[in-house]
Amino acid sequence: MASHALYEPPAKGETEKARDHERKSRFPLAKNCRYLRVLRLTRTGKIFLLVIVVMQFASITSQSGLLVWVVGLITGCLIVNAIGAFRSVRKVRLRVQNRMLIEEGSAPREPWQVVNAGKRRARLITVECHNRVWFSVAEAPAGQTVAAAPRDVFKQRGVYALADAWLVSLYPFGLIKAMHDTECDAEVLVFPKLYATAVPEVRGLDPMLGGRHTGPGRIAAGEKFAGVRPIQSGDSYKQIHWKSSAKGAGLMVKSFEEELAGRASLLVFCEKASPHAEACIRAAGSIAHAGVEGGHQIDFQNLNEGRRVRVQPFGDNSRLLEELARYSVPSGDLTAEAIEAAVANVPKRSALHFVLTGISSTLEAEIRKLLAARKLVILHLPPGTRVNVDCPVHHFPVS
Amino acid sequence: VKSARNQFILAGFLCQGLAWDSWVYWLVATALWILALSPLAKKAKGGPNLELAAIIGGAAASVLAGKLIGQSSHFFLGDGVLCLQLARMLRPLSRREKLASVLIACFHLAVACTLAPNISFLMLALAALILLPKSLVELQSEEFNTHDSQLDWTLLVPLSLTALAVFIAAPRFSFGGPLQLGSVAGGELLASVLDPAGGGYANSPQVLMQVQGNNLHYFKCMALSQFDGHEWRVDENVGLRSFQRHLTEEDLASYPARRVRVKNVNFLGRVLPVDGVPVAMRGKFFSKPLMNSQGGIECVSIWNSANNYYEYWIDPDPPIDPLSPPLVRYYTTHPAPSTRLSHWMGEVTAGATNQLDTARRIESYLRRNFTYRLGAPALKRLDTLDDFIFDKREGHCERFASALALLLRMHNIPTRIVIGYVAGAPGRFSDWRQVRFKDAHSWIEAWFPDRGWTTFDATPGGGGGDDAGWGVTEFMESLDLVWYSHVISFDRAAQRELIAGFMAGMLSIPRIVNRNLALFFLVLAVGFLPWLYRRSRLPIALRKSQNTQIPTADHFYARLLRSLSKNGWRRLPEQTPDEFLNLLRAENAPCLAEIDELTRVFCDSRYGEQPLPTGEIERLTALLARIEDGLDFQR
Repeated sequence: MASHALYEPPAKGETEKARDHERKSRFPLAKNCRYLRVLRLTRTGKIFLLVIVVMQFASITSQSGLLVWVVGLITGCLIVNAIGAFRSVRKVRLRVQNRMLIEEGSAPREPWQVVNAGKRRARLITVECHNRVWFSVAEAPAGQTVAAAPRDVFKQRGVYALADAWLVSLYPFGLIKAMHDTECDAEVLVFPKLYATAVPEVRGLDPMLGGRHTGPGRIAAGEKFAGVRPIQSGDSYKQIHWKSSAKGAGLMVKSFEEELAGRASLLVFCEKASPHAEACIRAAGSIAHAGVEGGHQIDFQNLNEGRRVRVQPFGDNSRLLEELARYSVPSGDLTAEAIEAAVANVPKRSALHFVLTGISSTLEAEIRKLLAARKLVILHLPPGTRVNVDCPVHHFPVS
Repeated sequence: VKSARNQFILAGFLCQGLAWDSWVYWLVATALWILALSPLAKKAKGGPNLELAAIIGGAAASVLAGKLIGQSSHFFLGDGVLCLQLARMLRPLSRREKLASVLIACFHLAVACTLAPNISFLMLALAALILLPKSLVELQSEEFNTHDSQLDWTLLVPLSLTALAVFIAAPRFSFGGPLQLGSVAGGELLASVLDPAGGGYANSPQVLMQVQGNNLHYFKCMALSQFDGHEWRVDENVGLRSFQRHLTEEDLASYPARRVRVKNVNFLGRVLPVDGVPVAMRGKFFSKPLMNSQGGIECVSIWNSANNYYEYWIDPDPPIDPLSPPLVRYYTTHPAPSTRLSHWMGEVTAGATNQLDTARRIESYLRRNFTYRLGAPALKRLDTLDDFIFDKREGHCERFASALALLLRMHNIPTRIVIGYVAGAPGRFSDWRQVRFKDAHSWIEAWFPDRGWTTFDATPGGGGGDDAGWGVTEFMESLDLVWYSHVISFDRAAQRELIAGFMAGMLSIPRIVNRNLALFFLVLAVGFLPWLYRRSRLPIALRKSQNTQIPTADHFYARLLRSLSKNGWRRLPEQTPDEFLNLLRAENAPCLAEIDELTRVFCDSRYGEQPLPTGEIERLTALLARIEDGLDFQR
């Protein structure tokens, strides 16, 4: 069943604009260069540059001019490296699946492809982002495509955008790296490692295809067979149970048990300063996942960023996982207005699960109001958090 | 041992050995290197404690060894890190540690560049040219889990050219000026050089200066004229006077010219070595050169510059300076000779017609009947001259000079001991001569009313300056001179001269072309022929290169299928490789293990889009050959 997602991604181009701005500020001469190519010293290169300076300085007082030859040798290494790396990476492109959703600590299962459109071998190719290597290929022959699995480096929840990464070649000495834009907008979305937990309490059981709960009513089509009844006007002939009708009691039609699904709304808020923010997001994801698997409709509300994802029973929860990956924790407190706006957005007959890193007096006041309005409110908090409201409290694991 | 990094480390060890100037060091360092890489050494447990102990122990052993063999221990730190390198070879290293070992080897190389840049260093420099980049390639290939650390000519040639270009064109900076004067006290000037017991630079091949000119011989630095009965001293009351004459360039052309390039003026004090009596002198690393009463040239101040170069012109027929009676008395002061010595002098100088003849006879006697030896036993404190003449009869140049000076003084000939250098033979490939520390020498000057101060050298075999022969030693010496004068001494002046020459050559090209237009076009046409030939053959070359592409797994699998089909096992188009393999298993085909392996490699490579590594190609070829043999056998 397709999920009915109300996912509101960040305004398109927002991050791209920020990146462009950063690039232009760093390289003002290359404002109009889309595929910016840069040469940069690696850490090893910086060390050798220091060696050059030291030796050039030492040559001032040395009886021998040969130190300048050693300086020349290392300079030669740097120059050859710069040219070699530039030529190696120049015609290389990266071909990657647009969106890769993976769990914390695992590597993307789909291999990434390095396409070498040049006439020379491309060697020592890596994909780097903030000096971390995501992917490496020792060699891509001329005109060929090489596929390899990315490295197991996506250890933390988050969004790893390949637009932020660089295609880099260190060929041959690793002193200078030539890099250019990956020219792809793919993202690796790393959602938290979910754990098994109890299905969350729900409210507002409604007939819903795929709902796990059975009600007293009967329906004409479903999964659980309830029995037969005499045909009534309006029944479809397709419903006729011919075997029992043949017994002489008139035409009988099949009836099925009513499928009901409840509603649970997860209102998640993490304080930036809290050490349990990641645990809180993981707990929210686990509860939401358990709810979807339990056959309920889950409303996931990101109170930090004001986004919402709704997943129907047994629906595709990839949107939910993506939201968990993208969840960022900006600074700011949870206000009464934000809570009221969030509660106004959830279905009226729905259990309210607050998944929080801590509880404030404002929130307690709002919860009291909700309890007074006969809402089912359940709190999910880190262990040891004191609560002054009369509602069920669950503590999620933080380790 | 195959690791380029380990080989570069060994090159570093040998460079450190050059600093010690000892082949024993080379042997020991190489043996330790081999031992550290042997399987036996892997049983030793390396670690930070061992490495700390190695660096401290190595440095301490270096200091002790230096004291024991009377050599400078300035390189103890280099020896300490050498031991650290050895200790680290006992355990697997992280990338950072490997990089550190390469850097240490680089610094060993740099030390050798500075301290022992002789021709034997050239071999190590060539090794470093290959091994340093190769070590870096190896480090990178380890990072990428490949073992392709080959350094082909496409990398090596530009690397060598860049190193050469930087060596030629890199700016030579210098700190210099009168304030940076590193002076040496006059009396201590050559003490450590002449006296072998003093260690230091005695017999050191290190170059002090290079000289150019005709009929070069003795370069005077200082004179010892005051004798107190036991020791010779520098006369502290030497008067300084200007010696430079106001001569035009045309006038100077008629005087013999000398050019001198001093490597490090700290070893000269404030003295500029000269041969003969200079009439003019030019240079930019000293101020106010003046002549002292002993005929030496002293400066008010002197400093190291980028190019310690000076030139001077000598008077081939200098005027005779008269000596006043008090000065004659001063220059003839001597202890009373013993009866035996008087008797001996009478025998040696019998038949001499004048004072000059007397002096020549004594000089000749000492040269012919005595032995030159460094480190000869010390002479008796009393009756030193008798002990030398009658008992020891051997010693270094200072003893001979001192003995001759005293013997001449006993004949009322004014004398003084001169200390300086003897220029070596000119090289076969250059008209420059090396003056090394080992060329330090001592001789005497005697004054005659009709000749003035005249040089005498009683040291057997002393004086040097023989023409270079064509033996291996002389040839190596000549090469060494070229190496020193054109590589080691490549300074700002030489650089400027080279660049100016190059620019002049470049600028003269249009003029040469204009004069020889026909020849120019002929050369151009001849030059184009290889290009045209290459161009005409390019499509063929391209086809060839396409044909000689690295075979893929498809190629091997296709050959396997062809071989199997000849034996009746045909793969149907709808069959997957695994299904076909199962069929072969069911039919008990021969060489199933090999076919299984080849199929697996084919599947991995074909569907993973990975090229086959070179090693894999060889293995697959062998596998295929085995399968074909097996199938042939069955047929």
